[in-house]
Parts: sequence; structure tokens; C-alpha cells
Amino acid sequence: MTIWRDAEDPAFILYTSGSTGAPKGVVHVIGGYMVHVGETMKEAFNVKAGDVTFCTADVGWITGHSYLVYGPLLNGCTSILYEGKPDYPNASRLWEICDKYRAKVLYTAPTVIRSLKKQGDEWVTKTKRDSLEILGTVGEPIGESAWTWFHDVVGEGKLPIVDTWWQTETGGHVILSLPNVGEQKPGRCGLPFYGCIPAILDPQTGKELDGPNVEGLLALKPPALPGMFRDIYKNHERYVKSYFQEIDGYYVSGDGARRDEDGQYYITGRVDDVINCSGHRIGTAEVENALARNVFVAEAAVVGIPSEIKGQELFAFCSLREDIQFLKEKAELKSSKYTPEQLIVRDLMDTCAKEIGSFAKPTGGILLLQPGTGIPKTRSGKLVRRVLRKIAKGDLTGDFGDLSAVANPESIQSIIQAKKKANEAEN
Amino acid sequence: MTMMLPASSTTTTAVFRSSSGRRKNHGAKERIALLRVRASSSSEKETKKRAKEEDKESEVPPSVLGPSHATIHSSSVEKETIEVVTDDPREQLKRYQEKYQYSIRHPGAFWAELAYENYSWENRDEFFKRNEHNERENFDARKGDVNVEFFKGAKTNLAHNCLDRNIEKGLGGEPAIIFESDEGFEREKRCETLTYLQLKEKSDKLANHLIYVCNVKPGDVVVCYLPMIPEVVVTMMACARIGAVHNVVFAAYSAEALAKRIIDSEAKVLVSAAMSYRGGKAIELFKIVAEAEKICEIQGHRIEERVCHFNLPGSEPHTDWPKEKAEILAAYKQRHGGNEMSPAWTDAPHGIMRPYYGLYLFESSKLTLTYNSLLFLL
Repeated sequence: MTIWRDAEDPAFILYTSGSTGAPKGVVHVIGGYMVHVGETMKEAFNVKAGDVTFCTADVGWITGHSYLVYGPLLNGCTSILYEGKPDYPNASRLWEICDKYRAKVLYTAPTVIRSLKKQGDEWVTKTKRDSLEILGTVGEPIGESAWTWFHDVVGEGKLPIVDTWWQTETGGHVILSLPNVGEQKPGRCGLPFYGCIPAILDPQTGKELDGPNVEGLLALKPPALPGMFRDIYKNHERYVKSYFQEIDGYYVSGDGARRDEDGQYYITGRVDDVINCSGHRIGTAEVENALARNVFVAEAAVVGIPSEIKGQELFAFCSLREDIQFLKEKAELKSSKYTPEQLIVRDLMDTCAKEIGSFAKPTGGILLLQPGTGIPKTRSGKLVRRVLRKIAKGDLTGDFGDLSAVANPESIQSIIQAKKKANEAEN
Repeated sequence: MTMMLPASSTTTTAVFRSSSGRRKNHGAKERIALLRVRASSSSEKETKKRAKEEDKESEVPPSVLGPSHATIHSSSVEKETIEVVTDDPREQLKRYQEKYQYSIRHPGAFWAELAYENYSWENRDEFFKRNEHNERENFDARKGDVNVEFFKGAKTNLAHNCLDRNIEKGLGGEPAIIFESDEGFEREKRCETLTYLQLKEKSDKLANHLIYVCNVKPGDVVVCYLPMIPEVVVTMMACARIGAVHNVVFAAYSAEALAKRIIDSEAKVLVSAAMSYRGGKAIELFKIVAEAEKICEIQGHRIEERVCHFNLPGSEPHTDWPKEKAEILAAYKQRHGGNEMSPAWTDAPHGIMRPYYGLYLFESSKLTLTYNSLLFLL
């Protein structure tokens, strides 16, 4: 009953968040994806038929597609599919699963590593982990301390850490530290996979920066990797415009990177309006749209703030439709237990959970702004996220450098005041 | 340290072989001689055979072997072993760099060789031995349409490569998927292993159902809203088998987000599960699905066929299977104008994927259905 298809026919669509509006249906094709994923699986994790691999990513993300399902099966491996949470019923669970099924490869995310690290070494050390040969990480840059813990405690200093940078769009690994190839350094992502050429671009001029010790936008230039996406579903224009026309001739990834003196790459994180929260890729615009659909909200801005465990968390600025004094009179906001502000914040959290999912809640905080305060924007109407990010992080000095591009600079002071007030209320 | 590896797992051979095939890179050829250890007595004969083959190739006019053309050799090489002299990271780095340089200079040949050696294609020999255009791309919109293309014209199938190819190699009885359930720490509760053969059998059943009951055609989109259970792999394989395009939606997305992704992908068929279990909590996925379908309906998009995996709580949710079965069959027949459900689906007493109907008809307020009434809705 097998239906043979052309290598260039679509295999699947996977939706991912971009910096603007609606999620994009990334289209992958059968032939190129198969070869790319099958071969990267083999090279990155040294697997052969019969090996047991454990990828902790959810199947709803590209990592689940490529290295939980297709990669292991294409190589005749045994893939462990774990239904639950990494810390349920306790923080030993992942290591116990490795022991139980004799996993050779563990492929997980820095956010998981950080959260398990926090629970203490004893949860790890009481397990054997003697079947493991390779540890892999994916999803966001792994910081030095998480890398060191993963290497020293989980791997007992003996196992290679395979860090991998790639995206929903690339289908499979692009930059990675192949096991036992060259020297390992904490936090260093590695070298390009075969058949691809990364480029570092100057964010201002768009010019390619050659040689070692350069930092900028991470892009790819031809030749393409076979697993690269072929289109955005039903929107070829968006495919061309959002990935290839920002800087002509390059696929611009949206991540930043640095190349060191050995020609190896360090990933510095997203440079666009996409937030990486617990390894979930969330577009700020998507959350802003969701918040703006709430009855209390006139306008919303969302930025990412650093978080110890999640990598980044969402922080929302919501400009209210009506004066908070007036809202206090509303029946639905009367409660003996909570203030109207608290009720609104809770309602906004629910809105995000309802419109997108619980993982998209602005757990970093929601700052309610009185009507008329406004949110700083450029004359062309773009949110001035640079300033908002600083305020969200707690920088209330008002010293934000050149603000000549901001159309409504007075709004910045009002937001700082609101944040100060909110901080006081919290204390 | 010395390590023996099968030739097929070390692509070093592939690289050097293509170079030597073109007879340009003599340095590389010498090195390959150092790397390769011939197996016992037949070695001399094989060397001669290979030399003969290479001679044959060199007779081909150079214009036919373009830079993107992969030079493919007979598979006799696969049985040999290579001695990797060292796993010293510096040595490995050197080897990586040589292979990397080759791969970016001849990407078409590099990938085609791997594609030919390691994967099944319906027209493997005709395509890879004759085709000049294994790879092309344009990243520059000023020079024409942006596109990427690999192996256009080669015919393949992902499910065949994931399952059948391994079964043919004798891995049919090996586990493909080990499912560790949320409560798996408690005496293996709900844990499950699927061998390659079992995974094929299950996914082929679903593939049959998708074709013959849900009327899914190659290229049609099937939405999968499934948690981390074996059925998600079964569904992906079933779609791949029949050339359907799966659209897996992360099962923590809300009804709104799910609806958006269903509508945007124009999917008419939905595969889901009743429940999701995580961290000791049970989440009623069927309610989210029902709500999403309602949102779709309001926006003018209708899901026409659904398959649901009834992973309901409790040990024996299907106490009255014969009666349920009769009801399902009757509902099916009615819905499909007298057509019978494909036999693979009528014989499933517990926990298997089955079609369901009608949830979206209910107001969301009425969706606090008990599990029993959910079953009744079948």
C-alpha cells in the first residue's frame, strides 16, 4: 500500500512562531528531509541499528519530528517516547528512564537541564547512567554553568556533549559539536554540518563579516541543506520576504552568533521579536494580539526578560481601555480577596492560555497602564522594544540612550512611574 | 586506540570514493588506501574488480559527469570494514574538515551518494545513476524565485524507509518505540513497546482507514493533536505511507490556537486522543478538540473525519465492546451512505484508535461530559 512520492512532495507542515502576527506553516518535503535527518542523527549521535535513543522533546515541535521519530526510525534505532514531565514524580525520572531502557543517547534542552540542576546533584548521582554514551542539547544556547553541570555531573566528565543549533525551518542539525571532533568548550555550539555554510552578517549594513572573532546575525548561504524548508504553507511571498529578502542572497535565521578563532560558532540568542521560553518558541506579536483581544486592554506590548530556569520569560505591558478607578466599580471586578488589578492580571493570563496555551502566559509579569499612557513607538508605529525590555528587567533610570526615533517619548516616563508603583505595591 | 566500524557508518569512504571515481584527487586516493583494510582472501580479487569498474567509469566522457553528479559504485564495498586509526579529537577534526570541504564543493554529489547508499527509492538506480540535478537552490530573490530542490524526480516514501527497510534488514522484532507512560515508574503502568513490525502493522491499519474511510488523498493535510503516546508515531507513519501531509499540533496549544492551525492548513481530517496525562494530571483533550472544531465551524471550516484514540482513565473502559461495536458500525454506515468500515477497524476492543462523531454539535457548556457519555457519542 506504500504510495511512492516525489522527493520534492511535501512530507509535513509544522507551525512555528515568527516575529509578526499569525503562525507560519513551515513546509518540509520528503526526500531531502529524510536524508538530512537520517544522516545528522547518525553523525551527531553515532548511532547504529539497535541503539536506544532518548529525546525528551515533545513531538509537537521539530525536535520531536526529527530526532524522536524520523531520525531514530530511519537508523533502525529504538526511540524512547516519554509521556510525562522530567521531574515527575521526582527529579531522578529522566536518569531512571535512561537506566531502565539502557539509553545510549540522551537529547534534551537546556531549560530541562537547568531545572534539574536546581534540584541538586543527588537526584542524578543516585542513578547509574552507565549506558549513556552521548549527551545532546537543543532548543536554545546552553550557558556555561548548565553545560558544565551536564558534562561533569550527568556525564561524570566522560561523555561528549553534542550541542546543536538548528530550527523548525532547517529541519535538521545545522551547527553542532560532533562527538570527539576537536576540543570541547562549555557553551560553544560547534561547527557547521556537512554541506552547509553559515555566515555572520553585520546587523546594520547586512555585509558578511569574514574571519574569526566576529559577531552578528547568523545566516546561511548556498549550498542549501537538503532538509531545509521549501515554503510557508500557502504563502510563498512570506517565505521569500521574511527569510531571504531581509538581506539578499542569505537565509537569515533570526538568531545571533559569534565565530571564534577556531572557526567555531557560539549562538547568542534571538535577535528578532521571538522569545524562547522553556524551549518553546513564542512570537511576541502573537501574545500581543491575544492580549489585545481581552476586553480590558486597548493595546499591549510583550518583551522577553531573562529567567534562570526558562531562559526567557514573557513580560507584558497592557494599556487599559478604561481608568482603573472606573473599573473598580464593575461588578465582575469586585472581590473581597483580590484587588481589581489582580483580577485583571489573572484574566489576562487566562486570555493568553485560552488563545495560545498555558506556556504563553506572561509569567515574567504584567504591567497595567492607565488609559492614555501609550506605549513607546517609532513614527512608523513600531514598538520600541529596546526600551520596554530595559524597563521590564527593572532598569528604571530613564537613561535609555538615543530616543530621537520615538514618537511619544513622554510615555516612557509614565511607564517608569507605573513600574515603580507596581514594585512598591509588591513590596 | 583502534575501532572497527562498518563501512556504511563511516562516510569517510563515501567522500573519498567519489573523489577517486572522478580520478582527480590522487592524494585522497592514497589516504583511502591507508584507511581501508580489505577483508581476508577475496581482497585481491575485489581490488581487481574495483579497478575494472573504475576504468569503466573513466571511459565515460567527462561532460556527462558534471560536478553535481554523484559517482555511485556497486554495493560490494558496504561489506568491508574500515579501520579508524584513532579517535583522537584532533585527528577527527582533520577528517571532519576534509569531508566538510568536499561536501560544500560538491553538495549534489555528497548528498546524492548518501541518499543512494542509505535509503530506499523506487527508482533508485535510474535516478541516481543518470540524474544530473540532485540539488539546486537560489537564496537571492533578485536572481529569480527563491527555492531549494533536492533529488527532484526520485520517488520515495518516508514510512517505507523508517519501517519496511529496517524490517527487510531483519529488525522487525526489534523495538522501534518504547513508550514510558507518565505513571511508568509505578510497576510499568501503561508502558508499551512497539517493534518495527508492530508499528508497521498499526500504522498500516490507520493508513487504510485514512484512505478508504476518511478519503485522504496524497497531498491532503491531516491534523494530529496528540500527546506523547505511541499513537502519534503511528499517525505520522500512516500519513507518510500514503503521501498525506501531517500537521502535528503541540497538544498544549489551546482550542483557539488549534483551530487557527486547522483552518490555515485546510485540514479536513483530524487525529486526536481523548486524554493527555502529564505530571500526574489528566487533561481532557477531547474537550479542547470539540471546542476547536466549533471555532472552525463558526469560521466556515469543517472537519469531515476524525479518528480518536480512546486512552480514557480507568482500566476497563470498554466493558460492553460488542454493543459499542455494533453502534459504531451502524453510525458509520449511516454516515458513509451504506459503506462498511474497513475491517481493520472493527476488531479493536480497547485503547485503539477509532473514529468518533458528533462532538462538535454540542454547546461548550454541555461539554462536561462523562467519559461514558463520550463513548456513547461514538
